[in-house]
Amino acid sequence: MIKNEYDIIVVGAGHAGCEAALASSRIGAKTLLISTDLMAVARMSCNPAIGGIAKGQIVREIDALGGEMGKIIDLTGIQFKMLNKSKGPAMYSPRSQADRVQYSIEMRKSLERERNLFLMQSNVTSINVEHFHYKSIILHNGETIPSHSVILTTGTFLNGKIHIGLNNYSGGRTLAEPPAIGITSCLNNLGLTSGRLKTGTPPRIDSRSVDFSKLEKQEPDEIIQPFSFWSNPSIFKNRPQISCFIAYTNDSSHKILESGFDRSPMFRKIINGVGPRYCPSIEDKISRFKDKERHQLFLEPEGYETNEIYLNGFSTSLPEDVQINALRKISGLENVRMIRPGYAIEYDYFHPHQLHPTLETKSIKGLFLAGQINGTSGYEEAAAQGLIAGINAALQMKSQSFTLLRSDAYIGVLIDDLITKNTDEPYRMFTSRAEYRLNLRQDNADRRLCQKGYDIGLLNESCYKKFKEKKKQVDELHLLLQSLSLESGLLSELPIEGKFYKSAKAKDVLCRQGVTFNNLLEKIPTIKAEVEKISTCAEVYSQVETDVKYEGYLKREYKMIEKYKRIVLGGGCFWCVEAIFEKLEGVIDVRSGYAGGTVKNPSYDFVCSGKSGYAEVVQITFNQSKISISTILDIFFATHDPTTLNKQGNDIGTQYRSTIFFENEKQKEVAKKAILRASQNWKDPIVTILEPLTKFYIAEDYHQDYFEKNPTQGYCSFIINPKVEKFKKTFKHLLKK
Amino acid sequence: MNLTESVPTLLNFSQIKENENAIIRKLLAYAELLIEWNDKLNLVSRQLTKAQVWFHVVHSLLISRFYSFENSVQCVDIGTGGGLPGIPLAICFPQSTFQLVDSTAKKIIACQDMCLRLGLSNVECTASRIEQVKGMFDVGLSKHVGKINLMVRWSKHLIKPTGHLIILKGHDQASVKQEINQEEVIVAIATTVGVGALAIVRLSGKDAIEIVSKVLYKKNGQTLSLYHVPTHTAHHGYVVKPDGSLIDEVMVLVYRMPRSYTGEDSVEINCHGGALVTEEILRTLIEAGCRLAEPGEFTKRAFLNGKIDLTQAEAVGELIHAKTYAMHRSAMVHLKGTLSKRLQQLRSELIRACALLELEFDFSEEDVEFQSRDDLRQMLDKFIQELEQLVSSFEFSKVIREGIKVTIIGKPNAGKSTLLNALIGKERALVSAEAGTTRDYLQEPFYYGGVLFQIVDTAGLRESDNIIEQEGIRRSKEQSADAQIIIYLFDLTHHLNIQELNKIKPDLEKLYPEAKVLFVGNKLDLLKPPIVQDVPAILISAEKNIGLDCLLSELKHLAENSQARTEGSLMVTNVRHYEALSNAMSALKEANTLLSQNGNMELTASSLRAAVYEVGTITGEVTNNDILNYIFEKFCIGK
Repeated sequence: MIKNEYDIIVVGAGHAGCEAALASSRIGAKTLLISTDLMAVARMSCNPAIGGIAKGQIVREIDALGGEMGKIIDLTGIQFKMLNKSKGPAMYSPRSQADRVQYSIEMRKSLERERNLFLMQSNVTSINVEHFHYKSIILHNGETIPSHSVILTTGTFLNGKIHIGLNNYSGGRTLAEPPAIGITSCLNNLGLTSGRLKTGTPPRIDSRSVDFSKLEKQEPDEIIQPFSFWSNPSIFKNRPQISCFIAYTNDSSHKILESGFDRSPMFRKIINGVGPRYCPSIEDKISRFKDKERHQLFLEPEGYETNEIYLNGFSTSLPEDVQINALRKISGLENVRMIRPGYAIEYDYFHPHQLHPTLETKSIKGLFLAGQINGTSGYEEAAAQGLIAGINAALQMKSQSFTLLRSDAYIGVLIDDLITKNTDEPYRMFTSRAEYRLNLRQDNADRRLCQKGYDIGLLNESCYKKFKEKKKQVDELHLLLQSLSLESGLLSELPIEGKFYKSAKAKDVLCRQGVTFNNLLEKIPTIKAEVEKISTCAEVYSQVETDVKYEGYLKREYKMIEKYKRIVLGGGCFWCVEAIFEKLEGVIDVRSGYAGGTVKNPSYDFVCSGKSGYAEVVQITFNQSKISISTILDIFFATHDPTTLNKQGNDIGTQYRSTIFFENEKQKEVAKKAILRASQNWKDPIVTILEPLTKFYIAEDYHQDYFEKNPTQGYCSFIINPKVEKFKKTFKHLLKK
Repeated sequence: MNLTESVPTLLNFSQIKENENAIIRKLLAYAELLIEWNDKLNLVSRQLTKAQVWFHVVHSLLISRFYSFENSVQCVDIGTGGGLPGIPLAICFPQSTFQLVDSTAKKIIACQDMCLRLGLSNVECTASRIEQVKGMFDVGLSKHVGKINLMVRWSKHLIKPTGHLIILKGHDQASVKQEINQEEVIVAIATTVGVGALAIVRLSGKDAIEIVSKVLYKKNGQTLSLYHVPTHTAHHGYVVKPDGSLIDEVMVLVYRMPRSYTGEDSVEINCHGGALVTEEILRTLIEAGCRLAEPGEFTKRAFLNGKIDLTQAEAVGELIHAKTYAMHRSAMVHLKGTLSKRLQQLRSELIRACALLELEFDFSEEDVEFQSRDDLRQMLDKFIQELEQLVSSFEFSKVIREGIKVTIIGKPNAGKSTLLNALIGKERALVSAEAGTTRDYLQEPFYYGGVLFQIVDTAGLRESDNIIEQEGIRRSKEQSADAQIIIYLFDLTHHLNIQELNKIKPDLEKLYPEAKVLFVGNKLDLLKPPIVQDVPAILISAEKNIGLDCLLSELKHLAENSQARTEGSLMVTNVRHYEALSNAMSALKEANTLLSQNGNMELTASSLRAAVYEVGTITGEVTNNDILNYIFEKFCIGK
């Protein structure tokens, strides 16, 4: 076999592409990064800022795994702010305005520093696939470049169409860049389905034409908290932080905007793509919320050495004349000059349920998709996917993979949401999407992810060492607080409601509302001495404090989600399986349904045809504290025949296959062990398959509790009843009382 | 599937061969248009590939193998969606006319556009519900629209008597057969089998009224036709066997769809009770063309026809098995779907509360107004109250399901066991003249006046050295702790007077704050007249059965008072629901405490999430998306 020149090709050098290429090359894969314009790598085509609520957490996670985004924004940020400071630490979210041009330059430098990474300016028009294996990419000039795998991060370029008023143009990101034609139809022909999304951007204005005295000022934070765990604090020195400004629309500007509605491509339905609800255009805001008198606009400078200002909140696709006239009615913008108008862009995306959690497509091996092509929005979401795709493309060559769970990281939530729930609007991360929100904090991203990043070979040795040192300090401080007992006399100084009458553990004191770590250090000298022996780092203190304060809630959060567990099992006709598991103590709910196929909302008829790929399954919800998953699986194997392929008694067909759908790796491991145990009880080999659960569809209502409701029906009395009776005898001790 | 190959074979192009290529080109164009429109409107399914469109087109054209459209027929396509099967047929058979009907206006707009662009002049598109369409057609067409019986019902008025209704279904014959089954009239004896004064035989199905008419005669021997009688009317008649012999004189009640239990045409025949008569009527009706219903099939049809929801269907089961009036009432409330409605409402209110909190976290930078702490607290208080009601209703519902617990207590040898035996009407408890005969408690159910009681006989209360008796007394106390009614039984011959009773009364009331205490004097028969009636108690003789009526009606009276609280109000009867609701309640209480302490909001949110999660286990999971949807709908978000 001839060795490919490159292991991995990354197409597109936006935020996803750059992280993907850096990750794969750092892990050791020889990587080629292809972009139509290498002067515009990691370009911020929309707002010139990184981070924000939930997004800032993602940047910290990328950084902890060994990604680049945090380091670059630390180098190029012009206004750092910690958002949600008034909420608890779990909600703290870093954000920074960026110098748009510098950001791109710094990222380019990072790319060029990688020995394993090569750059190429060209246009990819399609890919070659043989027998569902990716083979090579094809450039616009017909040249092909083979590689082990390819990561497509094409952003908004796929059949991109830009709208300003009733005019529209083909464009990939801005009017100046051509769209990518060909890849969509190429992938469609390979069986991947696509949809169309829309996003918009506001006008850029000239700062010299703005009367800032009429605007509200938004100051940066006094103390900069870097995004990256590894940034040297000295890089922030001699870098002045600049302010943003707030303006408000008013009635007369609304009137002008409304007068342009008849030339709005949105309202005229010329735009078919679905736009994000959380980022509506100004025309949308006016027409949907008529009684709102004014809308907030943020004037965000695009850098130190430019007059360009990004007008956040004024995203629009109305004609240029309407845009400028409406702006000039706004106080402070009376004489404003527009550098470029706002516009909407429509682009193709691929329905992300077609992806593995590694971001490799399910149907084509070696083809990875990351970023906006998967229906997301935002630089951070894109970068996170790029990172995961890059890691997995590289690990695939070592036959390994890497995924994160919802409880590990926002990145886990992001990818899980995409592949299991799909999306039909541009997907943005919100903290409310995370069930484990109290644990997925920006301050502990390193503790959650550095070890993982190091293990896959991405996080470098020096960072890892730094992390280990911090972790050691945090752990030791926890131990100290746990063991240190404080005399009640010492505690009187602390701002505590209710007194301590006897000595208390330092940890319990810190846990009280109103007490901070600094309180302890200031008021109780004995602690100060002990603590400073371990660490003098404020970051460590605050992490310990947050850990202590949240501990009780975290436990409940986990317990709540962990309490009720689910497993989806198929063992022939679901009426039987349901009837049996309903009887078990600790089983809360059993629902009949379908899993394992691809078509949406399958019907019973369709599943019964045996051609749907779906299996008749039951979803068992059980209380872990009362019955273990192993017990459920043991009963599963004892009550159906796991040795007959696609067949249970007289029921024949793939819909009757013996199967376990696992929701995560842990369940998969447990299931494997259960099969091992069961194999000792059966003479023939067990043919039960393990499948990852993507989606469980509940069956039509009349299937639910079928046996309970129709005990005298023929199938029930002859087939199910004997099974249930046998089961009742064997597992008497496990039955519901 | 290759369309260009399959179409000619399908169509048997006899007359239109010269147009073959033009037709195929048009079909191809239609497919393109359909995909284009489908992307916008979701006409057929969300993601439509070309291959799938081919499949639909070929499936539609298949009809022409069974029905000739070449002789200019008038067709109506019912629920056409993206123009299937109407448009492909219209392309192939320009000599026939096709009216495409769909209730969704946007789909009709799509069809109109496609017809216009395909240049089809033989197609007319109408946005309307099928029931409102006028005109008569040779053929009704439909592809994957609704259940067969519904299709027949909806389109009846549109098809000429000589016309056809062609329904395209999937390839699963079993389920099609099942659908047709519902067309069948089912019959069953609705009342308990056995001797009774009256019995009811019930029929349901499309031809139920016609079938009954076949076997029903008037007094003068003429047939009694029910064809044109209005719904909800009663008719007197005689059921006659095919051989002419009379079975029974009956009253017949007619219910026309959809105003019947099953939602189909239904008939109830009220006949005389007794196995023979009902069996004969059943057999006659089966001969006339219906079949015996499967167990639960009436309810199943009601469910399938959308007359009742699943919780209601379950409640029907409870109703049938309801043993007492109160149980019956509770089942009736359930049946109306009130509990599930209330829980759904609670769910959406909780989503709102959650959304208001989440708004502050995810959109703190936005220019939206956040809910004040006080408003939030009030909101939570309301939820907590509501949940408290539901949670405590579970206790009441337990009373209804398990009966009202009446515990007899009293000194040894007061005749407690004798009273138990007298009340339940059998010798259950061992009685003897010796004090302390009953050492353990005994529990027996009995009905009186439609109320279920659980009567408990306990060991007499006294100081005893006997370990077993001591244990018995301990258990007696335990048993009386959760009783709703306590009968304090005393021996009238022991000269207990008013003062003594009044002394005991407050003690007993303190001991059993939840229960009603009833003083009952026993052994009335042993008192020598004249009897001094100065005791505020019911006087009975359990042994001689004197005054028991009085005691029973007092019990019933007390029972009804205690049930009055629960009557008509919502009740939680399911343990799982109870657990989830009480968990939700405690989580909400915690959220409220945090809120009033001005603690971190993310912790309040965490508690609220826990509550939503618990309610979600009953009403269907509340996803993070539900909450975000609410936010996007109600607030102007968007930097």
